[in-house]
Amino acid sequence: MTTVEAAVVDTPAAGTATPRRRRVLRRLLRAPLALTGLIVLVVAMLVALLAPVLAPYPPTQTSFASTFLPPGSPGHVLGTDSLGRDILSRIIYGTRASLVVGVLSVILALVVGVPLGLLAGYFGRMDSVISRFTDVVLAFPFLILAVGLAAIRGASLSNAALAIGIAQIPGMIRVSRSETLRLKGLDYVSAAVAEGASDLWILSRHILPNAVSVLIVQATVAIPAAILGEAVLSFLGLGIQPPAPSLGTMLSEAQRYIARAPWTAVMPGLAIIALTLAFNLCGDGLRDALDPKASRR
Amino acid sequence: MTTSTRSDLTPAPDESTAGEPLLQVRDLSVRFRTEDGTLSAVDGVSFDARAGELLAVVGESGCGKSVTAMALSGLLPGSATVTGSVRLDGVELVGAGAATLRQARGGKIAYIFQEPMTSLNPVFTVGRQISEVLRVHEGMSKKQALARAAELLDLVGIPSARERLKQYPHQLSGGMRQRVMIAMSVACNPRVLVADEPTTALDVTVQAGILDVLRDLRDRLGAAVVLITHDLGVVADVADRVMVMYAGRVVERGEVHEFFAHPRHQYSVGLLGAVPAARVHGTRQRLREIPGLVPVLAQQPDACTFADRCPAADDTCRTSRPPLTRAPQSAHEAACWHPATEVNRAVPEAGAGEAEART
Amino acid sequence: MTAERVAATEPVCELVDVVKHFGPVRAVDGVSLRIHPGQVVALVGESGSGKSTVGRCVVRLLEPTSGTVQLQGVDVTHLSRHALRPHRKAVSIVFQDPASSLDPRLDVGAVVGEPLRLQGVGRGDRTKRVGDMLERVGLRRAVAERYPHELSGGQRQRVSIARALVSQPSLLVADEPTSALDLSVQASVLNLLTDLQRDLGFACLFITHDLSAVEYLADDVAVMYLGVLAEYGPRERIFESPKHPYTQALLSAAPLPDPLVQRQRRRVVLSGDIPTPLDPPPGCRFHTRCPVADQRSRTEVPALRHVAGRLVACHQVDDDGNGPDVRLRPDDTPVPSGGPTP
Repeated sequence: MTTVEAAVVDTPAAGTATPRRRRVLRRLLRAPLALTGLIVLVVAMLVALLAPVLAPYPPTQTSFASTFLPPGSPGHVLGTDSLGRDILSRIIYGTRASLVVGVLSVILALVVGVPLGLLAGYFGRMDSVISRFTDVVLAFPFLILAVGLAAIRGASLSNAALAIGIAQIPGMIRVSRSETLRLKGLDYVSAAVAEGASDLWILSRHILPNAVSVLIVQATVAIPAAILGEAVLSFLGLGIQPPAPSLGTMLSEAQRYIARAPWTAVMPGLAIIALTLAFNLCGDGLRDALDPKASRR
Repeated sequence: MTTSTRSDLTPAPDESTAGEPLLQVRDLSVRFRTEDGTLSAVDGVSFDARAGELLAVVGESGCGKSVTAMALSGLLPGSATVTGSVRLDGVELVGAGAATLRQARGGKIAYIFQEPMTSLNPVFTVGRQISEVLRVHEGMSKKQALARAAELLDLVGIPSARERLKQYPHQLSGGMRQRVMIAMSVACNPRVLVADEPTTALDVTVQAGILDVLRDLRDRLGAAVVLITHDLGVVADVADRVMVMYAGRVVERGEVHEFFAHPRHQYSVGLLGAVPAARVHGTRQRLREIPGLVPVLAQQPDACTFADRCPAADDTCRTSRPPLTRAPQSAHEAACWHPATEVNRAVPEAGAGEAEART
Repeated sequence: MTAERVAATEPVCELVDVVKHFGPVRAVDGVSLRIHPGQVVALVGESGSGKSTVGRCVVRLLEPTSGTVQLQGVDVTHLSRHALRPHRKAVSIVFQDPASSLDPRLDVGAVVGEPLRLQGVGRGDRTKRVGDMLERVGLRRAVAERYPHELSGGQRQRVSIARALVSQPSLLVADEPTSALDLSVQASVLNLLTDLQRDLGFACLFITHDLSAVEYLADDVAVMYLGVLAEYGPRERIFESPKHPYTQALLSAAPLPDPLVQRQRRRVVLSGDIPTPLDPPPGCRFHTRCPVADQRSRTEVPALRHVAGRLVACHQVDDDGNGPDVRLRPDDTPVPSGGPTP
């Protein structure tokens, strides 16, 4: 069907169409949900960066005199936990840990997954090998992997990042592969082949740059999964080790005291929700903003 | 030379043998809200669709023909503001409620889309899809509906109708699917049929058959057919009247033979000159080019929107909007201050690249 | 192939019995063509005809399943990508869809300059040649800094043409270059192609379904149906007296923009739709829709024979070139032709 979009905006007068980057930014900024997500993310990142400056107390500082103080108590805006540690400070440092794991693991997934996906999508012969490999990793339960790594190398933040990163690789391969397959069929790639371009030239100059936007969106969506993953691992004792704070360990420790001091669980829980939601909203918004065919509401 | 001037709100009086106007469009305008601002897609379009007549709406991308067609059946998205009047059998459709529109669609006015591939539901058989329309709109029983469905497939020239009813869309070719689409649209005997480029996606040997079906519907059912197309050959083949649109406005309208023999608007002259004509043995005549691009307008100016690209434009054209005027002793109208008075499709062989190409 | 072209000059491109199957899909099943320097050969057909596949074989975007492709006398049929590189310069291709023909991330200068860059031409020289080419296709030099999304469909096609011609090829394959464009824009692009072809002298394989464009541009016409050639010969002959029933049907089906003439024409309406190349009909592939098919058509594949100054593959045409005209009913006399297609 001759869509409205085609009928109406099919004839750009030369030079008056808005440059793509600006249009994407404008779209992103106009969507209220995405904007909220973006703001929360920016705040979270600032918090993580400026943790030492912002946290009112060292996160591991205990005080047996001030255990289980409820939120709103003088000196402790969010209260204290079973060891008298300030929850706000722990959340600040915990967010930092979560973000570090989130970002590192996704970087790992990108570095390994994107090239593999490109190769799988571009070279038919490599496709079967890489796809089977992807299927194998996918079949592997993520937690078993984490437990295994912890057993071999000990539980730590970096191992958590490693485990989560590995678990994210198949997803990245899939997205990168499907985007490569799509781009490979476009006429401008055929034109490059007809001009005598080598495969390396085509991959690096035509395919990768055009795949970037999809990959960015994928990464933005993978990070909250990583954060949740970290929370799960820490909750199970496979990630960052106490007394170092992590949103997951905070939840884990708060299990026992939920009836008595619910805020010890609620606060880190809310923080996890906020972070995850922010990334998801932002990712959705980014995907919509990048989509040239987004409908006009 | 004097031309009789008339407000362009009322189309020319009926000089053809067609029946009463089933669809009356007056001063239809459509504006869109986009992220780049407002867009005026259709401006002040008026026409009648008469029983037993095929009106071809011609234009290139951005002329507003598809938007006009969609406005007729209320198929535009929420970002569109529609003003003016569309009366179908006396019922006003612009601004009508969902119930009125639903009743009008299918029953009174049917819309045929360009892409038969995506207009049919792949998980239902052809018979089921057609009979569904009949059961919903006409209240037929399943058996009655299927019988009627077979009749309809016959009507549109699909052989072995009974067997076809059991087939799925993917088992049919493009031409067949388009015929099924047409069968579905005429299932409830609509009086008005709006076909939006129904043959563009089809091969030329298949196209002829579809055009025959449309012609047949016009003659046998006495329907008013509004055919949107950019193909002048199709217009020459089936149209009774032609309406040319440019940048959202109607720029020419008239009977088909008159249009091809004596086009009056300079844009029409340009369009007709763009088609390679049959060669007079050997000499190839340069195709007529229209420099520049179709404008994308935020607002419709009080000027001729074709002036920038027109060889005959002058100051009047740029400062005041030409109304649709009739030529003397004719029902043929053109919105032009300097209508073309003779047909000259041959353009002398010009030097290469003499005018900077802005198309 | 055509009687007049018993030329001493070597063909720019020669296809001999090219076959291309994609798994079970028999897209091209034995096509032979010869394109001479400076000649425009139109390859005509509808969907499933295989014409685009032939075009891609010529440019070696595809490797034929069998048969040979020769470019300027060299057999390039099975050369590796690497070995093909020096030959790429001689042949270029322009695609149908202006939207996907140009990399949206590159500016026009980079797009048009890419072939030169791949050939090792230095930046300064490139900029000059790109600018010259842009002017030749009717765009300002400054367009080199624009991005594809800032251009209209017609302008993008001009950029595509500039890219194809910048390395001065001997053969341009144009795969439906105007099909996705508006009518008036088609006219300007067709004018452009004619001008360029005249000025630069390249040969052109013009792939299309638009018969009016064929009549306008072509020297020779090759009509394809379901992967094989139906008829192939000089334009005037094909248009004035088509011998193959499919050619006749095709010519009569394309409506002429003249209601007086068009409504008088007797059109052949072929029964059924085009079969799928997955399972082409046996014998003559056209027999399922042909008004004059007989038993022989159903079982025996017609050979491409040289009759009446062109090549035809039809059992109903005898060696003197006499055959049916499916546009006429038995008791009719032919309509006197005021133009090439009665």
